[in-house]
Amino acid sequence: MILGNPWGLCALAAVPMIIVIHLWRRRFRPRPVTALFLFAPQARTMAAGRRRHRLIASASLFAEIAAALAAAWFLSDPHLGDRRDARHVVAVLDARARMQATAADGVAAVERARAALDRMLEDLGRDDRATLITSGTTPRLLCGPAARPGDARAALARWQAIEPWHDLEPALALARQIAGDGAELTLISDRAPARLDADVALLAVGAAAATSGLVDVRWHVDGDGERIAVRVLAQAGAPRSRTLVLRDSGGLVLAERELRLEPGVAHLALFAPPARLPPGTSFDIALTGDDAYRVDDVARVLKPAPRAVRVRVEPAQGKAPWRAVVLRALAAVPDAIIDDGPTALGAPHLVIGVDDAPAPLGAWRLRLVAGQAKPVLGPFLARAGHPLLDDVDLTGAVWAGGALGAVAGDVLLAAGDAVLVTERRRPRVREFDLWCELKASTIDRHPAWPALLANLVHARRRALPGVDQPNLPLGEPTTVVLPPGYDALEIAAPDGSRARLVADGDGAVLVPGLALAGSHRLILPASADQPAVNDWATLNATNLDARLGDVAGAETVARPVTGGAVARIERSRSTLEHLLPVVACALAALAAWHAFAREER
Amino acid sequence: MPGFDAQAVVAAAARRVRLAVDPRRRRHGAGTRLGSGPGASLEFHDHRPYVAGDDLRHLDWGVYGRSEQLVLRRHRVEVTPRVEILLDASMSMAIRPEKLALATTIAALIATLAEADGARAHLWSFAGAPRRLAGQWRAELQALKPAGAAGLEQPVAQLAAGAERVLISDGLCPTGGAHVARTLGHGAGRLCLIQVLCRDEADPQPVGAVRLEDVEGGAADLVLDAAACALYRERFARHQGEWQRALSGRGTGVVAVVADDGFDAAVTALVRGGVLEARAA
Repeated sequence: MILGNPWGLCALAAVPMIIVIHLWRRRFRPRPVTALFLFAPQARTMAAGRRRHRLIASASLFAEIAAALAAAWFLSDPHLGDRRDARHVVAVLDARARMQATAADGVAAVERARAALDRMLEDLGRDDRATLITSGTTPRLLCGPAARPGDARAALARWQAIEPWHDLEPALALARQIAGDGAELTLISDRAPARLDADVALLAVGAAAATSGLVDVRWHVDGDGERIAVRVLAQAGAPRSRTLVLRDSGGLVLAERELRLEPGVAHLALFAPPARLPPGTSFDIALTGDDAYRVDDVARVLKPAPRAVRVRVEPAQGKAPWRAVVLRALAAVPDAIIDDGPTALGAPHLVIGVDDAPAPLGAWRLRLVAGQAKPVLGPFLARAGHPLLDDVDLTGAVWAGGALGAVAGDVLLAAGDAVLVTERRRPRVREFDLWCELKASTIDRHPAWPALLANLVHARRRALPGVDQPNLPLGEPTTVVLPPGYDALEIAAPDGSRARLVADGDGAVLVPGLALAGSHRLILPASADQPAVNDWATLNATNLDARLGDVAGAETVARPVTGGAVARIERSRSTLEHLLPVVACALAALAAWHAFAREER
Repeated sequence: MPGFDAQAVVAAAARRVRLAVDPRRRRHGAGTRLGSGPGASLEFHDHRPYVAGDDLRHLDWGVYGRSEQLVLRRHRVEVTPRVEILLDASMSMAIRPEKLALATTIAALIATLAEADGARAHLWSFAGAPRRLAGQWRAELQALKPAGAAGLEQPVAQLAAGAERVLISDGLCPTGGAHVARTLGHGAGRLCLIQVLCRDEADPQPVGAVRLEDVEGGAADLVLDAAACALYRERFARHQGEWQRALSGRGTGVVAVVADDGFDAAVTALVRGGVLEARAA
């Protein structure tokens, strides 16, 4: 005996309730009278009293119990095991963008897959179930679990293959988890994966083609100035020629380059954008000509905002030896602007000095302090993973003047008992103390010295408000630092959806990998003391990946499951089985009502 | 009449009692019973002065011889009394067999006594609508089938003025006694109610939760406890008082008999109530 819904047995609780009601039911013995009008009409009483009576096997009692049993029958759906033959199809849809590659007939693999799966869903019966899972960095349920075929077909129409490159295994693992040990697992892709378990059916609907496309587009700044670097790759087939075009945001062709592409060899093209363009200016790069996979034939790149760090070395214009040492090291650090002239460019981002004077509001500070420790040659103990000490190798350096005893802040670098570098953290502000006697040390002549200052400048640069790199591949997380006064960020995706992210104490917002290619607007919501900024910055997500553009291995193949499986989802009862308990319950209830009325008459 | 041999019982009772008919109200033309007014019998009634036109054969010559005054000798009239028996044959009278049996036996007794006394007895039964029982009233009484409500409030066309009217009923009509007394007592020489009741109709006892089903329609669930019984008695007494007031001055008024006590007790109650009188031994 199988119960379709074991909770339906709760209806049996009505049986003891009915018996209790009948035990306490007040029974009125009929008594013929001749002058009913002489009895007080207000003396009429309710049908239940406080005294328990002997249970009388009345017709109403049996009919009510029968109604309760029929209701339990209907709700719990007891039956023998002959309805366990429904199918449950769990389909994993490859949502990588290369499913948009078209075959010779111009039909994309995603459309062929949609049509094939739709036919499969159409063949399912009323009681069969389907679960659709789209692959992705994080796989998600497109429909289900165990949805009706009609719902699954409706959901299938919404399926889009626009995801960046990812592994299918998480989606297959999720599918296997949902399927349990009874459902039919099917992978819908454009080719057979390198490894696929035998219990997973494969429906590959791809068509092999030799493609070429952009694999990387970035805004590049170096000593030669600003440039747009574009890499183009031909995936397979014969060498071919394609034209690379650079357009501005208005569609005006700024440059055009004919490329001769060798299969498997990346071709780098550099474009010099017009000078003195404002940050955020966009350029479109396109490969013209026919291609089976057109997603990677176009890309957009944004000009990032400059993020230079204004450094003030105090006291300004001094002749102290350490000042020359610092300035010499900073000269080798890009993005560092020495701003200690008579006319300051603005509030400094970083102050380096020897005195205890407080730094300007919001500025980081590095204080050089001479301690009492004797010179040491090592070993140096550094805080692992701290950005200030990243790639700083002090081997061979003599460090004198370290601090002995307790010092304020967290110790980042130490040698024996001597504390060499400490850090004090406040929201948006860092204060470093570098305990060193430069005269007795060789640190200023050691390669670690400019590396240390460069790390400091880079850390400060990353903490400046704004977007460090506006051009991102899909799925790559990035960090955005909000201006002071704001504590949240809204991201408006190209499809209009919005996500709200909260900043940490330093104003940094970790933006997870973007899922949609295109421009994502960054919006600063109004805070307690700052107005809202609607277009504060822009992130440009591109779906360029050499693996996505490789459709040379695509194929059309269908591989059934070896062994076959029958789902554990029960087929629902037939119409007769559905109606029978309902009719029985209704008849019993009607009989109970009739019997009760007769008994009370 | 189920339950006992009515004819034998009536015959036995008729030997012990007779109708206590008020002679002053005896009318209805020539008969064998002396009436209350002057008439043509041999029984002296009174004298009155002679006026021209009087029949000289009625002059009292003895008085003239003694006092030389012409006076007329008048004799009492001889009448045939009319007794109209109105028997409630509604379902309420049949709530228990002995109640209906007692009511029909009393009706038979009064009719028998009336005929034995030289009066004309007329019977009507009230079972929904009034119906006159024809000459074979004994057979009709035996075959009486109670039905519906009595309908005592309905006027009866064939009732005669000045007749002795006896209403045999339980008197438990929702409209009260006044209306019935006005309708059925119209033109009657005398109207009395012989109220036949079961004991629990006059004095219900607490029995707990019951469904009261009125035999003439309607039902109600209630707990018949001491309070409900006291309330019933209070209303019943008020109902009885209304009957008493309605029949005041119309004769013997209301004479209640209890079916549970039997026929002899009922006869005794009727004698005590003035409806019957005992024959001299």
